[in-house]
Amino acid sequence: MKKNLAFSLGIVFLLIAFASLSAQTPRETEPFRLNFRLGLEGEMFKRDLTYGEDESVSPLNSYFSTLRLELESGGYVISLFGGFASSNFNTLVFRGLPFSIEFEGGGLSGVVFGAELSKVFLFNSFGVGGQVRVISYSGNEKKWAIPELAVEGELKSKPSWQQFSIGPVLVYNKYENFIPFAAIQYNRLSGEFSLRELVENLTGEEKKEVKGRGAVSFSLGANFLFTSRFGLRGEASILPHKGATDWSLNVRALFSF
Amino acid sequence: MKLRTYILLVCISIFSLIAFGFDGPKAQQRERPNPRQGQVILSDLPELNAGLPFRLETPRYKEGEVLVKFKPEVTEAKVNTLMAIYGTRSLKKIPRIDVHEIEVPRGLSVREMVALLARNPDVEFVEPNGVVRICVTPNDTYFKYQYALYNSGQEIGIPGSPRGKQRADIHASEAWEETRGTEEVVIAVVDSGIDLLHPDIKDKLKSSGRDIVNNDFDATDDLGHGTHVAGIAAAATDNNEGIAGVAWNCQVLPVKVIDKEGSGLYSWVAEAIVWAADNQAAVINLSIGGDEPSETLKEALRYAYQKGVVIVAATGNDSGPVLYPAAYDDYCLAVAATDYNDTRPEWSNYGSEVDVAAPGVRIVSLVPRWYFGPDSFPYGYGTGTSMAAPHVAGLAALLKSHKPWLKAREIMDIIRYSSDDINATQYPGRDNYLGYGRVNMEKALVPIKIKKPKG
Repeated sequence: MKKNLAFSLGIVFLLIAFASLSAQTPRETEPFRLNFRLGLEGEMFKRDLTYGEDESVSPLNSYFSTLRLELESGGYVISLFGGFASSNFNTLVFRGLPFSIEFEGGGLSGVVFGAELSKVFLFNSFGVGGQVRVISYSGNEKKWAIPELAVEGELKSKPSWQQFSIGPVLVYNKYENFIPFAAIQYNRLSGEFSLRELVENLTGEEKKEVKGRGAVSFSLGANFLFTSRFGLRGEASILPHKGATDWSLNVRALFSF
Repeated sequence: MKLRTYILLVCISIFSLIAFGFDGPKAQQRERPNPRQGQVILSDLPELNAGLPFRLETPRYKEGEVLVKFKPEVTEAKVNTLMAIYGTRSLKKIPRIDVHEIEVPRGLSVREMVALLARNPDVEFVEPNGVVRICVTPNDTYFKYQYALYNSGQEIGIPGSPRGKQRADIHASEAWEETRGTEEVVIAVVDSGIDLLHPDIKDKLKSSGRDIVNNDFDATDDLGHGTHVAGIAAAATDNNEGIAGVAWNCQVLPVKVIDKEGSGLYSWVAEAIVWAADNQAAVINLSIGGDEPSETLKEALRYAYQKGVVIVAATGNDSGPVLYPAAYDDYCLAVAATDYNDTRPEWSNYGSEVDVAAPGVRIVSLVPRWYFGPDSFPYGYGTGTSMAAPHVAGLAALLKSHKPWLKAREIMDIIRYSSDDINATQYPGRDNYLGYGRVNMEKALVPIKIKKPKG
């Protein structure tokens, strides 16, 4: 994992350094200009998680929709986004509670916040650069009745996850309104799912540390500029790992100011 | 007193004749099929006691002895002085709980001695040395079906016997998918001992145990009750032989407190509980009970409970109040009986102390190899809350194996709350007959699925 991260970071820094040197002269003459873009973003992904000493596997299906603000200057784009999310941690098994629980509670709503930084250097029809993104999801606490016991029992669930990705981007810049790109990213997902159990005077709490399987994702996407102020962006990623391939889809609609 | 002793002797004689006199010779004459050849084992043995649980009549307490605990500040020297003043002597001191077994001086009755000592400010408590009795005796040898563990609706006994109700069982098969226990967890069977060489349990024994009755370390069963009880809790399982025990991989520690006539003293039971707790027992099964409350028993139970031991006790078979020690609700899981239709047999004792129920009618388990005569098939049926309790003790051992961090109270609560309220139509919720209901091992052990509510 650390090797992957170091490899990805190395590539990003090399590309940025190389591109910075190559594109230094024309950029120095450009006047400072700050562009704002505001829009909506939607993303859904499926990621296999491992947890526990025996490295049990459980899928996480998640989607979120956010309001996104982008600030661009000198080719650097800083994005901030926040919104609502739903995460489905199906088939997580908790054996550290007085009554063991297999959680299949479906999607759990919550909030998601994130930030992204990217930079692309253009060379004729191509551009190279890098991007780094962090996202944090915090699910709402939800109550569940424990079925089929002789007395009433209650569970409280509280999920969260964080995702960090970083890697180089290759952009094809020949077309005016259609800009395809490809990316390789080190992609790390980790999180926690806690369950609190209360059955009469029996209480217990178990926190599951979860970790996304696999670490390197491959993405293809494109920007579609419909007008000078409105564009759409789509991106599809796969993250192969031992035994399966995870995926994600991301769509953004942005207005420039 | 003489009349009571006479009645006791008559009862014991009748019991002995029925248990050993009638069946033994018959069994010796009968050709028994070899279970290893996969044959169905049939039996034409008559059911003892008309198929009802055996109720041994015993005196409520032992004559000539009382149990005394002195206040902690009273020194040994002062205890000896007091004994001399009362003209008595200490027969034994139960370790850890410091209860003395004291001889009653000639001319005084037990009740008079209790009243006399109770007035002494140095005495914390004094009480008669109560008598516990077994709650059942094995009564048949038809081996094949263990409906208590998995009830498919099979015939309960020889062909033509009544059929059980499907899934009127403790859901053992499902629970074994989750855990089969570990040998670190030991179930102490405080009873009449165990046939230490029985092929279906000898490899499960932690040691030859402790014989409190004869004060040695060879808890060989000379009655049959303890072997039957131990087999239900933890007979060797998946060994191509005999029956399955509830706690597959857990070990058994025999502690003998019941003599060959089927009774024992409270002081023996208290000593056994303390000894078992000090010798790595995680669970203690008490398929025995007496009518009298006892501070000595309570002290011993408290000692074991505080050491994290789960104590399971039979409620009794008298259609009456819950026996002691099962009635000590703070420390014991009191187990009533159900049958193969998930109904309560009328003889199962009841009261607010009943915690849960488990199958206790026509339960097949081990009997000592000598029980039905030489070379006989060492399995038989038993009926009573004595048979119900070890099902629960086995479950407690599996819980302790699976979740070793749980405290005794938590294990007791899990067993209570995971029970099926099988008499809910008549008595919804906890009731005095079956407590929280018939235990359900699947719910106690297997992860409960939490699903998104429909709609």
